[in-house]
This record gives sequence, structure tokens and C-alpha cells, in this order.
Amino acid sequence: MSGTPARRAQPSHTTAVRGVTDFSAPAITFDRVTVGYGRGKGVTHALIDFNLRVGRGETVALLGPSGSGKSTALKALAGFVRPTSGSVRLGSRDVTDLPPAKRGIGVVVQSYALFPHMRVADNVAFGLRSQRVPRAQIGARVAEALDMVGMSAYGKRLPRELSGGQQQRIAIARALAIRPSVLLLDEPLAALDARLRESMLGELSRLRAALPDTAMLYVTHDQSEALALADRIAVMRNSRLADIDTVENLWKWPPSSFTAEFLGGANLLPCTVTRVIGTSALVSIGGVPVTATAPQPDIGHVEWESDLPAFLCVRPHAVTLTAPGARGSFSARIVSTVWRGSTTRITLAVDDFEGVQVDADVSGHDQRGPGTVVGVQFPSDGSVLVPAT
Amino acid sequence: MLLWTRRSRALILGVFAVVVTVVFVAPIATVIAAALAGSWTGPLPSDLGGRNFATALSDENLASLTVSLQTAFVAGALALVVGTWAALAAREAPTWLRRITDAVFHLPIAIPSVAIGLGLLIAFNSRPLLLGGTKWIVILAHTILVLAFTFSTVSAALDRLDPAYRQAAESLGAGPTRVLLRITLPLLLPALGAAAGLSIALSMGELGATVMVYPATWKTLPVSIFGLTDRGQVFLAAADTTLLLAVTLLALLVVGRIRGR
Amino acid sequence: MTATLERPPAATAPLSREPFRWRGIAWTLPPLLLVLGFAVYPMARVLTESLDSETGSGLDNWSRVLGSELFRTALWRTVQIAALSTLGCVIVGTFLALVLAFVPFTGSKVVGRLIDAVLSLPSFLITLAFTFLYGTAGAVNALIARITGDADGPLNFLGTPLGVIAAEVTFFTPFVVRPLLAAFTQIPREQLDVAASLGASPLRVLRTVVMPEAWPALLAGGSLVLLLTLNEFGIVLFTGAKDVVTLPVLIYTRGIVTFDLPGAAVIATVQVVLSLTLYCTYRFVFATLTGGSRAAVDEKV
Repeated sequence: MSGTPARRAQPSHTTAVRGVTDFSAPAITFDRVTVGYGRGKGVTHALIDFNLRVGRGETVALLGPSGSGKSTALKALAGFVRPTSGSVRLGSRDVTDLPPAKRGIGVVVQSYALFPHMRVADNVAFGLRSQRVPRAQIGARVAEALDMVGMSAYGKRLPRELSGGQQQRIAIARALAIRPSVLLLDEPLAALDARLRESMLGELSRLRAALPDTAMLYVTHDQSEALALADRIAVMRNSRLADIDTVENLWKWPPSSFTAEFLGGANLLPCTVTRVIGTSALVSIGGVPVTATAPQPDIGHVEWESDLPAFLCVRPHAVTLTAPGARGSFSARIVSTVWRGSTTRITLAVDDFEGVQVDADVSGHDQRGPGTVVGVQFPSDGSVLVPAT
Repeated sequence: MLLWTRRSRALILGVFAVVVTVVFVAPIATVIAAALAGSWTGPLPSDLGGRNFATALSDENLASLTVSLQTAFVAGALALVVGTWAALAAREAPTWLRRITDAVFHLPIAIPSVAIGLGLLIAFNSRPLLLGGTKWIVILAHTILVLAFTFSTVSAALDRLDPAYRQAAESLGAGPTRVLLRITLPLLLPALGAAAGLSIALSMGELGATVMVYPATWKTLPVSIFGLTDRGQVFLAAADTTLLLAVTLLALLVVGRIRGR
Repeated sequence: MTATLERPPAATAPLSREPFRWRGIAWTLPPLLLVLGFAVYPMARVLTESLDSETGSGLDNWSRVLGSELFRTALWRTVQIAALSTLGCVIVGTFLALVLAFVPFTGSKVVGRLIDAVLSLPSFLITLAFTFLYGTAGAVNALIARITGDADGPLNFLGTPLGVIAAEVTFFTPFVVRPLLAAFTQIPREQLDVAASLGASPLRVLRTVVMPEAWPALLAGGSLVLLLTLNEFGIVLFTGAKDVVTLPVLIYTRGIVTFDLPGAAVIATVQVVLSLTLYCTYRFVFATLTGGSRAAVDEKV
């Protein structure tokens, strides 16, 4: 495929958020932050030219694979790592040179890092004692924090007597006890098993609602956590910020193929743009015309040039299977099926598209097996044009 | 895992048992047996009784024992403080300084104890620092020898310490002093206890440097034991050695108790 | 501690905007200076003492000592004993570590602790015990004499280098067992099981699966023992035999018995150079084989 692929404008700070966000003094600002290790020829960059603004009370998820730089960004904000260049601000304070103790941030890490030689109540009180909160108030603040995570009865226990999920909650309580304006969470649920993770996600949602003024930066590689908790998602790749937008926008209209695949799993069908009018598009896959949607972002305008390669992004649950030869369907053959209980994932080879393979999620009752010839439909509002980056 | 038949396992374990008995158990058992014996001319000791121990606990020998204990505890404490201080500080220092500190503190392992004793004898036998002829030169010798092990043990434990604890403490607002006193040192307590125990054991058994520098007024137990064997009083020497072992073990237990559950 | 995950220490970003770490240097200097003053300075004095002479050239002492028959015999004896003891330790130690790691039996922990405990004992205890056991008037001799009916037993090796070697093997084997055992326990059990299921005999499994993993530990333990046996004093002193004189004992007799301090200083300097060289080699080999013990780990995420 020759020529420059169709591209969509990349806004660096998206202002469109559900509800109104006050950006006059964003709670967190990353300004061109770069973090490098090593010297001279051997320099490796863990984070390159990172820009981000998080508003008061907003939750932003840093989502990306291992090595994408998300944890480094968090550590730069917390002060555990010094940026090589750029600055970090909390509110209107420049904290780039400030030691972690003076930043007033709450941090929850993957390993919880509860102090093993202290009881739960002492762990939670540690931040209060360090910041010289008057003795008389400490008891009440500890009780308040424990109550918020539902662990009020565990004050006298030692960390090693608690289960993983319980330790998780104490770690959160310890961070919240100091009433931070910013809460950082570094893959907090990664060490929990699937079921516990589900319930903890619910707890974290509840906490978010209970703390409307606390900004949260949530690092994860799991897109379901990001989808569940965040207002906006910053997708990171190769130590850089790749895409940033609201959850809804990223999901429905992914700005790049990387984000499309990373966030939610998608079929990316290589296609050529035939013509785009407004938000309707006509593309060609293997010579066969298909209609699709070509959304415009809230800021700026995207030009889709004709005859250039792009991807058609279709979510597996949007693919519809019909009887072969039905109106508006394409001919396909089932290659394999995986039954998952309530749904079945069917992999099809679309003959009309020169054998391109497509995943479809259908009802678990579907009994069709490999080799069956079916018709496949791609509803135009479920098919989105994605630039070939 | 490795041996799958009963027979081969029995054979190997048999050889193993013989080796362990001959190499490790026999010497210790022999010394204890000799300590209890009046004479030993046949395959087994004879004339068993506690007479040797009674003599061992009499004045002069007892003095040696107390000297050894005092030296061990003082040298151990000094070595623990200096070694821990150096290990903690080296972590914060630039890499080049850390390497130098590492090398310097590990030197005593590489040098024979007799040479260290000779060095101390030559260096501190005159003004301005006249330690020769006092107990302090012996304590100094023991401290230097043991310092390498305390530094090594504490450094290794510091390396294994999860940095997340310190980061969590700092993020909660703790300054460096608080982090050190409330987080780092408590988490290092097992390693400190092990270092203290090792120091005491090594000091109690130290001979090479001590024999070069000791004044007549400060004779440690190993030096006394050597004197006894030199004069041919082997049974008394065995009793003293058993005493040395027992007291070392006791001191280790006490230190283990002090460092907590 | 339950859910803590082991993480390597975080590398710090380069010093482009970091204040010079005065605090770190300031805190490290006091103990460092203490050790330099009380340990390194005396050793420097030993060197100067060895050059101290009333008749002008300091090298007099050196030529006198280095030329003496006694010194050369002692040097050779020291190296010989050290090498043979190390060999013995390696053989016995490897066997013990293999059994402890791969042939499980009840009480293996206790035996492991016992072997560790030997490290805390004074070395001369072994020689003392040997006198009772293997001496000419010892228990084993008496037993054999009683069995064979001879007047004396055949064992007469305590006063020879062999006696010293035997004692040193007894005492220093744990120094080989420990690192080897640590290396062996890191080998996943499944590798041995799979190898056996593929038809390998225990010896083949040892040769092809186990030993390749253990070479660094063996080398490290072996060189440590070599260093320690080279410098061993108590065992040799207690032997008291005339034809077993090693360098450390020679330092003692020269320095304390005949009070020839410059002569003792020469021998001490030779010994220190010898063991320092060996120690540096040991550290270098160890570092290259394990990829550097203090290499900062790059945290990618």
C-alpha cells in the first residue's frame, strides 16, 4: 500500500468530558516530561515528552502494554523518579524538584507495601503522624479512613494476617487518610484473582463517587478496569502518549488501530477509502464496496483522502450472522468456534473479501460448526473507519 | 527427584550419614567427651567426671571467659553500629563512593588475621595512640575483623529490602529520619540480629590477631586454651573449649531473644 | 510477609538536574575514615616496618627473609596445604550439597543447620578433636590396635601436612556447601523429573542438567575456601608440628616468639599481597559470572 495513510487530527488536551470540568487550575499537569536512564550512548527513555492535564475530581487511566511508560509517568508525579526534562505541577505548585514527602499525594502500589511490622491502625496512621496531625485527631481520622474501605474492625491486625483483597483496602485507606487532593494507583488490582478484581472494581467505583474532589491517576494494562473507572483514558505506547480522549469516544471511534485493538478487541479489516461524505463513508474491501461511519472529532476536522489504505474497525459483537445469500450480506465460511457459556466466538473467513478473517460474538445457543456457509453483515453504524497508523 | 530406587537412595544416604558423622559430628562429640574425661588411652574415654569443668570454672580460666565475653559484646556492638551506619550511608552515596566503601570494608576478609594483629601491634604501640598493652587493642582487633561481616550482612539485607516501603512512607509525608527509624531499621532487625550473632561467635573463637596483640592482663579464652595445649594439658583444654562452645551458644540465644519474635 | 512482590531496586534518573549528593557523601565518610585509620593505616605501617633497618637500605630485611630456607619452605607448604584442602572441600562439599538438595530425607534441615553451625566454631577445635581421635595415642589408633593386636596403631599423620589438610577440609567444607546448596535449590525440580522421564540416568542428569547451573557457585565457594585456607592460623598453630609451618604461623613465631618485627613484617606483606590478589580475582570472577552483583537494574515501566 503506497502513499500516506489517512490520518486524523490528534488533539493533545481534549476538553470534551462528560459534564463540566474546571481546567482553570488542573489538579495535575505534566508538561513535556521526559525520563531517561543511563548516560551518553546508552540512554534509554522510559517516558518521552509526556503532556497531560487532569482536572479536579477527574479520573484518568493510563493504559498501555508493559514498557509503555505508564508507571514511569506515575512515579514522576509521585517524586520517586526525577524527570530528565519537563515539569510536573500539582494545582498551581511546581513540584518537579520537591521530595515525595512534601507533595501531599496518596499512592497505592501493586504490592500494597503495607509496613509488615506495624498493625493496620498504625499503618493507616503513619501518614498522619508523619505530617504531625495532632494526636487527638489521629484516632478519628484513622477510623474514618478504615470506615471508607469497610475495614473498621481490622485495626489491631497485622498485615500478614489479611488476605490480598483486605491488604488492598488497607493500602487505599492509608493513602486516603492524609486526605490527598490527588490519588495515584499503580496497577492496584493486578495481584488479585478475577473474582476479587470484579468486586474491588465496584468498590473503587463507589470510592470515586464518595470523593468527588480527588483527582485520580490510574495506571493499568487491563482495558476493562480503564473502561470501568476512568473519565478519560490516555493510551500509552513506546514511552509516549498515543491517544487521549473520553472513554466513550475512544471506544466508539478509536483514533488509531493500536488503540482500537488494545481497547476492547476489534476486527481491523484492511480497506481502501473510496469516498467520504460528511460522516458516511464508502470503502472497498477486496474490491467489494462496504458502507461505514467516518466520525469527526469534537475539535478539528479530519480529511479522508480517497484511494488510500485504512482500517475498518468492527467490534465482534456488532457483526451479524444471517442465512447465506441474505440481502446486504457477504458470503463467509465458519473456520472455528469457541463456546464461552453465554456467548460463542465464531471465526469466519469472508469469501467476498478474499478470505479476510473476522471474529464474531454470537449467542451461546448458536450451534453452527466449522465449514458452515453463512452470510455476514457489518451494520454501517457499527463499522468505524480507523486511520492506518 | 534424582534417585528413583529405594536401594540407590539408601546407599547414598548411608554414605552421606557416614561422611556427616565423621566430618562434623565426631569432632564436636570428641571434644565434649574429652572434656568429661580424666584420661583417654583406649578407644573410649575413661575416668569420666566433671572435674575438668570444675577446674575450668576456677579463677584464672573463668577470668579468660569473662574477658572473651566482654570483648565479644563490645567488639560486636561497635562493629554492628559502624557496619550498619556504613551500609545505610553507602546506599545514599554516589556509586564511586559506594564501591570504595564496599572494597575497604571487605578488606579484613582478604587479609590473614595474624597480619592485622601485627599491623595493630606496630601502629599503635607508641604515641599518639598508645593502645598496646591495654585491652582496647584486643577489642580493636576483634572489631576490625568482625566489621566486614556485619557490613556484608546488613548491605545484603538492605539490597533485598523492597523499595516500595520507603516510597510509600515518603509519599505519606515521612522525612528521612522517620523513614530510617520507623521503617528501615525495624525491617532490618532480623539481619541486625543475625549480624550480631555472627559477630559474637567469630569474636569468641578469634585467635590469630589476638595472639599477636594481647597484654597479659587481657587473655581471651582461645589464648588460654592454646597455652594449655602447649603445656600438654589437653583435657583441661577440651573442657575450656566446650565451655567456649556452650557460652557462645548461650550468647547467640540471648541475642536472638533480644531481637524479638 | 504475604503479598509483597520482590522488585529490583529502581535506577535513578541521571544527574542532569539533581543536586550533588552531599548528604550521602557526608554520612559515608565517618565510618569509612574510621576503617581507613584503624585497618588500612596499620597495614601500611607493616609495609614500612618491613623496610625498617638500622643498616641503611630497607631491602636488607627483604633479602634476608626471602632468601631464608625457612621462608621458602613455609611458602611452599602454605600453598600446598591450601590447594589440597580446597580440593578436598570441593569434593566433599559437592557431595554433601547434592545429597541435601536432591535426596530428601527427614531431618535434612537439621543437618543443614548443623553444617551451618560449624562456621561459628573456632577452627582450633578441630585440631584438638583430631588429637583425641586420630593422634598416635588417639581413640581410632587404640581401636585398630586392639583389633589387630599390634602395640601401636598405624595412624600417624597429625604432625604431617595431611593432618592439617584433614582438619581444614573438616572446617571449611561448609563454605562450599552453602553457595552450592543455594544454587541447587534454585534449579526447578521439574527439569530433573523431565530429564529422568526422557531416560537419563541420575549421573547423566547430574552432569548435564545440574552441574552446568552450579559452576559459578562452585567457583565462588572454591575460591573463598582457597583464600581462607591460605590464611588459616589456628589449625596449624595447634598442630604444633615442626615440619608443618605455614606463613601465618611464621609471622607469629617471628613477631612474638623471636620478636623480629621487621622480619615478621616482610612475611606479612608477602602474605597480604598474595591473598589480596586472590581476593580481587575472586571478586572479579564472581562478578563476571553473575553479571555484576550491584548492577543497577533498569526499570522499564
